[in-house]
Amino acid sequence: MFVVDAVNTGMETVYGRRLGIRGKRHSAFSFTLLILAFTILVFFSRVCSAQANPASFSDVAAKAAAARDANDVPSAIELYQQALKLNSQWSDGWWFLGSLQYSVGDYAAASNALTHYLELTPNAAPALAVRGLCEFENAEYGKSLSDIQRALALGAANQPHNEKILRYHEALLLTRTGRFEDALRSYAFFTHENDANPELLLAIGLAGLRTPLLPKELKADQQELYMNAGNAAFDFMKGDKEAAHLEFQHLFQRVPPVPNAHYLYGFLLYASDPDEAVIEFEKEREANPSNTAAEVMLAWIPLLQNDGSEALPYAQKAAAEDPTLPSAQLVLGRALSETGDTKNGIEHLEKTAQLQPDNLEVHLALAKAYSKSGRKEDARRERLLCLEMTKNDTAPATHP
Amino acid sequence: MGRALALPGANPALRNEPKLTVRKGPYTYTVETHEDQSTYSVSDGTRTITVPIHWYFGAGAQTWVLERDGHRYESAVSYYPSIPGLDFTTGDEDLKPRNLDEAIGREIGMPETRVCFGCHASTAVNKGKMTFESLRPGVTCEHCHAGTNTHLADSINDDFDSAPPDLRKRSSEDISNFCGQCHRSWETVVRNHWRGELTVRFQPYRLANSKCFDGGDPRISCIACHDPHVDVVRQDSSYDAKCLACHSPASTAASSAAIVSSISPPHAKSCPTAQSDCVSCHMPKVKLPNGHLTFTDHQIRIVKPGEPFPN
Repeated sequence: MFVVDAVNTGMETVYGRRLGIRGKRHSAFSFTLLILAFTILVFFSRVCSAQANPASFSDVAAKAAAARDANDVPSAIELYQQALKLNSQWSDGWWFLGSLQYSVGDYAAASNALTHYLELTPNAAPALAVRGLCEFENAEYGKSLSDIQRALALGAANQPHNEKILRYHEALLLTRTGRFEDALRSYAFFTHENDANPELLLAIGLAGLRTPLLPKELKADQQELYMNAGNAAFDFMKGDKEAAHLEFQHLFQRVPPVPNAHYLYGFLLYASDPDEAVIEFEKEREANPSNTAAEVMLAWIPLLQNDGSEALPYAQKAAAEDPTLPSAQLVLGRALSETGDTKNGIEHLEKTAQLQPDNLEVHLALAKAYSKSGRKEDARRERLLCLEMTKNDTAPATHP
Repeated sequence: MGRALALPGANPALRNEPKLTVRKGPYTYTVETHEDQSTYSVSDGTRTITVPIHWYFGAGAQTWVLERDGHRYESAVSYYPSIPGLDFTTGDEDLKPRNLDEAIGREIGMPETRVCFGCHASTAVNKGKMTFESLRPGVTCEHCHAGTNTHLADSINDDFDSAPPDLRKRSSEDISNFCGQCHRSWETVVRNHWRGELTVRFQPYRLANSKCFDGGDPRISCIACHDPHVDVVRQDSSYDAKCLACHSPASTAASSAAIVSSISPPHAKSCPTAQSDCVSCHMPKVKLPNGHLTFTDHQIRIVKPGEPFPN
């Protein structure tokens, strides 16, 4: 089918450019299957019954389908637009129109058509995924991240290839929106297949060195540095810690010092070796005293070890340095709550929840703080929210 | 808890079962005990690896931490008194060893070693560092009451100022998190994406999922029902008074009034069916998928017939 081919080309363009995947035509096929399946579903569903002029509408809709089948994309787009003027409640029409516009790179129009489709068919994961990719191309990064994450939550990653596309874009967007740690967690997905390529390493380097840019936005003379950082992080995440250690040492020896290099190594180390991680965060602070993220991590490590008293001074310092940093508010709120000042702790945590409503750690901390203070219903609401947020995370993070 | 970890020579279960064998796929596992020293072997029929057992984890079911060529492993099989015999270690059923060396068990790095010994022994972890030299097997006073040893030494000199803090003064939420350091807290389970029936082992997590859990109400804390200084009581009726402290109109009476906090409701709905053996209905026993271990589900609820295990 033409729609499938057209969409296929579009997906190859997006994915091929982003990941440099070999055998693009073959690998894009699985995402095509998703759209094909969805298209077939739509095709066999009933056309909306409420039509002002059924004969005219049916005629245009049939012509649009014929044009689509004949691979005549410009005509098909025009005919779908005409049909939708006659019947704007025709959800299938919006899907076909959006898919076709996406396939020819008209991302703004595609996004608009898919928005109409989603108004009529909420929670359609493929439509959310494609709209998210359109928004990515339109540089609407906040909206794109929201749609892609919702699509993932609704099961759009139903094929390995689809998952790669969506996870990669999610990680790019997390980096672009300053959520570097979340981005690194998303990139960990790619270490399972050991499928590194220069653009992926560059992207990981950007997240690792806390630079809110997309790979295409990075100056050419900086690419080597970020690729080296990405390579060190990739090796660490895939389990080759010896190679990673050597690569990080090379990174540390660069002149001038690389901002966030020690932070990155500390962040990767802290789950397995918190003591070594603390050393790296302290080195980062020595090299870059204004690095509040490192101060946050110096608070976070004792918090995870149930030592609120140890965490509190670091948390207070971090929050004083950068009151707008959500993670600083999180550690301060949690440290206060765990050292007995639950009321102020909750205030900071609620502030953080407003800034980052989808941050699991904020809701875990709020559940605990509300529970401690006897706010049973609030605690229960937060706990249910945490369970909802993690219900699709089926792979255990560690051995139980 | 005092017997959570044992050293060679203190293991009546293996003394009574001097040779245990089980075949799992292409591998045969054998645990042999002679004169209080046990060895753990795995064989593929042509080659056998044998290591001495130095660390016996668990007082009932037993898993062993093994050492070989500078690496540590959680034994692939464990001893279950309910069989009685060997079977896959709980949680390791899906491991697919590629060779005999991997078949010995699941390798555990230093972070996991710290967690294992940190919970099953006392003074094993100091300031985040694993210290085998100071390790004392099992859960001793110092494990929960940090500073106890210093306090005991000071008390000889009539100095009682170093008494460790009274854990009973903590909120139920804090106590859950304190006990949850080993029994797994609610947030640990959520953060690690652990789901399904295996979570029945993690009582603080299950308890916090209960509708009635209130972290500010001392009537629902771990220590409201359990005295950690004695073996767990297994008679259902012995917990009735704890349930009725909340779920009975009589809970406002003198017996429970003393512990009813001003921030807690005086009492919750009472059960229309019975006033005894509450936990037998509302805290069902759940067998782990391997069928060898049964735990009481601490997610207190009205259990409906045929309902799936609630996460």
